[in-house]
Amino acid sequence: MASFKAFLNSPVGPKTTHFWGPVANWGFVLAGLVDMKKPPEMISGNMTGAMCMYSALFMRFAWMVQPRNYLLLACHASNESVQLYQLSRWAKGTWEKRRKKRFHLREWLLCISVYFFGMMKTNPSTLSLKSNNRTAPVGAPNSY
Amino acid sequence: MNAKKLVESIWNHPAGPRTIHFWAPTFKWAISATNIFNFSMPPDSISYPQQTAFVVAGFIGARYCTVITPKNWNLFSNNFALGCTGIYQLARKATHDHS
Repeated sequence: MASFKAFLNSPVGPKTTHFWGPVANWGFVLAGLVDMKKPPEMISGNMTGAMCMYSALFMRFAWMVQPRNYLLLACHASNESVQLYQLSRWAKGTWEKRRKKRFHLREWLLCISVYFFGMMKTNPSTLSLKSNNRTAPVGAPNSY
Repeated sequence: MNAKKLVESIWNHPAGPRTIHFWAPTFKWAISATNIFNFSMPPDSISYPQQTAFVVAGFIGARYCTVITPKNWNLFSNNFALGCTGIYQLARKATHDHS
């Protein structure tokens, strides 16, 4: 009882917007769950893909915002799984049509941008075009 | 010099382009934009639950953006616009259904 009271009066509890904002976002999840019954032909690949990106970005946002918002994180994590499932259903439904294409430009662009993003985060110096961008003297011992 | 300072202040802002506080709302504009493109679609294709979710989540989310740190006016305008487009779509569908 005491912990429930503490929750009610907490600065991120049901008396604040920090609680009701994420609660309102669960509407997206419910709409997605209702749409699971739709046949794959009626799924819009663009909207579902956009929803996947949207929830991925907002999971990170919920983690980094002050105060950290676990409810929003949970909401977008579940939306992400629902939308990924819908995306897989859509992809399966359109696989026959897409298989005839030889060069899937969108998939290639996605892979290349993920690769460059990963390189930029882990080892920014590799993306520099300079040929003299050595960060340590020749023969320096590796730290790993 | 002023231009350089302005660019630097934007680049290093706590809700600037190096942070998730910038890119998350920037991407969310796609949802409002899709709703606006759908203004010309027939009212039968509008779904009551989805548009109601947009209105509720939009306005409550707009309020939420003013109480978080850092205050995110980009996301505020985003959510507010989403709520308004939801109201417009609901009105379209309601007038279509009752006529």
